[in-house]
Amino acid sequence: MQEILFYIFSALTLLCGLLVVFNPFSRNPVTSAMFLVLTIISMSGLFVLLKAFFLAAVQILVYAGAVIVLFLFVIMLLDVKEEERRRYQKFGTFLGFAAVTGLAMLIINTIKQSGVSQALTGDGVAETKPLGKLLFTDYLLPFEIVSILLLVAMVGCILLSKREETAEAEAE
Amino acid sequence: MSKEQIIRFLPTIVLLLPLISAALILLFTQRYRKLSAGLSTGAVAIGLGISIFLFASQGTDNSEAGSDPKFTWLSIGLAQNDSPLPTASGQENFALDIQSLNDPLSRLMLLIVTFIGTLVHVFSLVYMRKDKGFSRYFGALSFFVFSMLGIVLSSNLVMMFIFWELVGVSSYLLISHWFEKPAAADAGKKAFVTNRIGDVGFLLGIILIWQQTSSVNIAYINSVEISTLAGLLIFCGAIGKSAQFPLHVWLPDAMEGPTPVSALIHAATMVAAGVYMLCRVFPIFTDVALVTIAWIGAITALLAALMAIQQNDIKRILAYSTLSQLGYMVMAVGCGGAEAAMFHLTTHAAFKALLFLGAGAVIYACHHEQDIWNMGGLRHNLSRTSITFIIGALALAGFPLLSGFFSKDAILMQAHLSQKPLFIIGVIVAGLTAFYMMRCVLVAFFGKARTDQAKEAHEVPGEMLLPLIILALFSVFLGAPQIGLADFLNLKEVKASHHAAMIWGTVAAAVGLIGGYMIYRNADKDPLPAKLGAVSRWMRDRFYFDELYAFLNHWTQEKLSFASDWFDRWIIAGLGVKGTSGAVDVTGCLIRLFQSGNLQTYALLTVIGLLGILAWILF
Amino acid sequence: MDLQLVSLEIGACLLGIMVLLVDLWTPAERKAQLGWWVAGGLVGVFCYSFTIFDQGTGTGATGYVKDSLAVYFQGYFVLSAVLVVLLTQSYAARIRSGISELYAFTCFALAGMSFAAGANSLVLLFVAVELITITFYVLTSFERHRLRSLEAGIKYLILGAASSAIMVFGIALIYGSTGALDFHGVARAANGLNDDSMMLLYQLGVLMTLGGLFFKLAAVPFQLWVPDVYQGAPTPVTTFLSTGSKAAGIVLILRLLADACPPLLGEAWLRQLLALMAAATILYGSLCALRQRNLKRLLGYSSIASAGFVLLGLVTLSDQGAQAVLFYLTAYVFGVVGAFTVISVVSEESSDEDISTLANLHQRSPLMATVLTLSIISLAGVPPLAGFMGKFALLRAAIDSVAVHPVMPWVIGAALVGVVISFYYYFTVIREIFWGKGRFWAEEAPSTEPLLCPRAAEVVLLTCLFGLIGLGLFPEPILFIAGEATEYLFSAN
Repeated sequence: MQEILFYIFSALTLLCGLLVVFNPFSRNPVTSAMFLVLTIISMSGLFVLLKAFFLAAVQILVYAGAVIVLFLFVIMLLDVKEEERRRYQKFGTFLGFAAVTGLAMLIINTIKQSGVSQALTGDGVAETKPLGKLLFTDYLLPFEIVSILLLVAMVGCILLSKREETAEAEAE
Repeated sequence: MSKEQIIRFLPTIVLLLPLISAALILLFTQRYRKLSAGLSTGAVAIGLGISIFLFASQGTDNSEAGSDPKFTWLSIGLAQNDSPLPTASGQENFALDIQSLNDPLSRLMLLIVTFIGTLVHVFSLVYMRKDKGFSRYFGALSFFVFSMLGIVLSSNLVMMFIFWELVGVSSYLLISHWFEKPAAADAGKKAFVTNRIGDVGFLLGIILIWQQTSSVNIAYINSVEISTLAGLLIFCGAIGKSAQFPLHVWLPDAMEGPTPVSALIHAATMVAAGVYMLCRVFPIFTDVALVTIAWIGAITALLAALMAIQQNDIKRILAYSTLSQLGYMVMAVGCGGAEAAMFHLTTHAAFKALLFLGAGAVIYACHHEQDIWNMGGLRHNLSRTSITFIIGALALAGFPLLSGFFSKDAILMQAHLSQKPLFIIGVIVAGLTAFYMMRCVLVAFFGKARTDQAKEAHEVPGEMLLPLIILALFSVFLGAPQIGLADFLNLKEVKASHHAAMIWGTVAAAVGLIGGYMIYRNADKDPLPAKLGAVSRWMRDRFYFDELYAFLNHWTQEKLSFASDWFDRWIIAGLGVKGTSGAVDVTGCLIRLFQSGNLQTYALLTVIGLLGILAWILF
Repeated sequence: MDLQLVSLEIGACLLGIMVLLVDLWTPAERKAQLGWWVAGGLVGVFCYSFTIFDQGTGTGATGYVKDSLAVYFQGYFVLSAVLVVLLTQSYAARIRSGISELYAFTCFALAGMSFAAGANSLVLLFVAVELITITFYVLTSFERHRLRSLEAGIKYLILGAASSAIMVFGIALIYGSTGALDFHGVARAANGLNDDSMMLLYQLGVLMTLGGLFFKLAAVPFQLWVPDVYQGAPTPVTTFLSTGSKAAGIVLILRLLADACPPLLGEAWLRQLLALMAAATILYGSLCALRQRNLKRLLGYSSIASAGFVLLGLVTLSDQGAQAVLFYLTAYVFGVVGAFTVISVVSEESSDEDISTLANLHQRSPLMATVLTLSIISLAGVPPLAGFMGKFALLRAAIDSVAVHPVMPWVIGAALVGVVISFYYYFTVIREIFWGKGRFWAEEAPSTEPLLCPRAAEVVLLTCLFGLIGLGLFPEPILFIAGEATEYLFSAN
């Protein structure tokens, strides 16, 4: 049962991920964003299968909930007509596919050779309580650094998006 | 700090003063002409004071050849090695000590360089007064003095080579000081490039010595055996810097620089660096190498003396005479007389600087007229200048009891001891020297004025005259046995040879002087071309060496370009490339195509690159 | 956790937050002056952190270690940050808004870099790298009224994110194959990996992690972002990118290789890979720089080439090579900062970055002409300047390891070819300073008006001058410290 679910979720993740960047039917960025939501939801399904319930919940809450909603806001506020008119470059698309497929094949092949065939089951670390404990003991320093990182990101966003004091953007 | 310790720092201080002055002038004081000149002159004058002190206080004391500060340059990843001499496995212990040398030889050279340097600075104050590059000139002068002192004080070959190159650079700056004049710019370039040819040999020699002895320390390599090839390669450096045959062509052209520069660089210091270097590493030369050196010197001396006879530009006459005298010194080294060479170097520095500065004064007085046939009768208007010039000329000609007489004598004696043909050439050159100096003096200073400039010439100001008078005194007395220079250099004397040298040298000088007097007395134009015909033309045109080089250059270039054209057309024409640089260029252009500025392309190429690496490693 | 251990980083972060706060009460025209305080503060924090170091080293469970290698690099980072802050101050006129944020971000980036210097676990490695990179995303597009700056920011953001993704995948694979996150744990587990198949997974992980770090270092094939980003970013940011960010990549590579990959150090392929990358990087940078007329782009390519030289030191996988790398970087800082400072002042005056703006510089400002000339010839590696000693040390380390590494002669050959090519483009710059005629299509001759150098820039220039000559003539002290820092780095295994 688990195995079947795994394959379903994986296939969904891959397919939706592909449709985010390459959708032959629609070039509308909103569609892409929606597919991104699907990708993330199916990925959280994979986390559930690994018994990482906390991660799965965070994945849906933060990414599918907050981040993507923000994405959609931005996309709708911007003018997206331009993007819709652009066509795919055939050669570029092909090369991109080839490169990504090559990389994927390589990694799959390596993992296969390394003999990790049976599904690994979680040892319980990924559950909420031990995870929290670890974060605030062993990994306290990285955790705090991330808070500075968030500060930087926040200040940076405000800085880059607020109206210029002196003049509007000028073309070079 | 005790007195001894302070003294140990003195040579390095002398070395650094001009560098500081050059840096200050370049960075800060370029706008203030007087300040720049003062800084530069002050630096070298203080250097002179210290040099005199060192010379007077330590004299020939050879016990303490080191000085402070000493620091080790280039000893990567090694334990500090305190022993002064590298061990046999020098490769492991490669350590380069930067340290000023303080021994009699370097003290003497220090004195010469700072002494002539000071006088040239003082002379330049007036001579360059109206030049718009005044500050730049003094900055370059300071830099030159620094580099020259560096050569003098080098304790190892690598350090010497670095300063050797710096001297090349700074002389380039000075020769092409009037860079808006194409001839000056070209002359600077020629000097630089010709020197480089010799320097390549020098560098190869250093590398060879390093490989053979695992050391570049001069004191150490002087105590071990070195192959002939290495010695000859080292000699190449001297050929370039001291303008020996066949790399002599740059020196006459270098006369395009300001005349005080010629006095400093092309008479007393830079060109003497080659001879000094030969004396410094004298023990490394094998017999074969010495014979080669002697003959190169002799050929240079003879050819240059012949060329000097038919030059009309007063500075060029002196330039060829310098060539000839340098050949003399190199010959002395080759004959085993490093001391004699240093002796002549010292006296020559005095009287040749005198002659150049005198020529500078004459040129200054005649409003930049340099052709001696456009002068004449200058002794009336420029009486004091002409007296000093004549003293210098006589000293150069080897007039008995003047300084040149004694030093020339020492060289002839060495030649007599070594090989008779060399001795004969030496005597002939002595005669020729007397002859062309007589010609120069008679034509320029005697007779009647041939042009208006010569008629209206005025005596030069005191600042210019003072260096002349000081140098004239030195030209007269420097060689005298009572002064003790010969003793200081530890000159050996062999009675029989000494007598032969003295007699033959005096006879040659007399014949030259009298011959010159007979021919050029009251001459209005040169009578020699009529008498000698083609030979005189050869001399005037410097035996066509420049033409030969130009031709060779041209010819090799022609053949090369033909070959490369062929190569181009048939081998890489398909790619549309011209020569190697073009190939590099095109490769650059081709790989710059990756830098399209397109983000997706970058991402794609990065992933492909990663893919390539992973695939290569993992399979 | 011992907070004293990370006092330098805490200090840098606090300084950054303080600048952000002080900014609120500072009148607009005085904001640029904050730079002096930031620079002073950084020096103070660094000096204070030394007093802690004396109390002994310590590694917590946090995966942070303050050993001599970390201290060396932290000193290096503080040095370049101080110079960059001063440079920023003289650049302030061109930043339309948020000069204090620029200072603050420099501090945050510095904190990230010094975490990187002491990173001893994969988690800290990743977090530190992200702190640096995300700060630089913002910094790069700081001049957002210039399209080029925005474009550079976007490019750096996307390529950087891609490389981070690769790196985090690699980290996951390492964890998957060894079950450890701190370097020594990884090394212990990897030594026990007799099983060839698991080894393969571990190798893949290491390679992908290295790939992300090579992106910072700008080694072929991860170098494509460099010219565009260097050109577009504000000049002080470019300077910090090429000194700080690059060095952070280097110290992490050193630590990762030496501490986490002992089983791989003996493998021939690792050396071959590094050697190939070194040769390709040197040649790529040198070849692309030919004919380049935009000064910042030119220095971007030159920075790629110097990344290649750093790799040359890494190929040796020896203490001596690591020591040479450390020294080379220190020497490199002075050359790069000196050159960028002059370019920043000159291009501000002429609002152009073309190489022809340097014409007549020796008349317009002798100080700037001197420093730029010395910086350039130091970068080119001409004795007796700092850059020469750096290249000399690297080549020497490389030559010494010829016996152990059969590929070495080829890399040295490529490096020498690169040096020769680099002479060509470096001396183009010098020619332009002294004999430049301006743009060939320009109507009027290039200006000869004196060019004023802001006070802060002057301080930077004099520091660089001092460093260039000082390190060239007296390399011993720094070499010694670098030697201490890298002692037993590789030979301990």
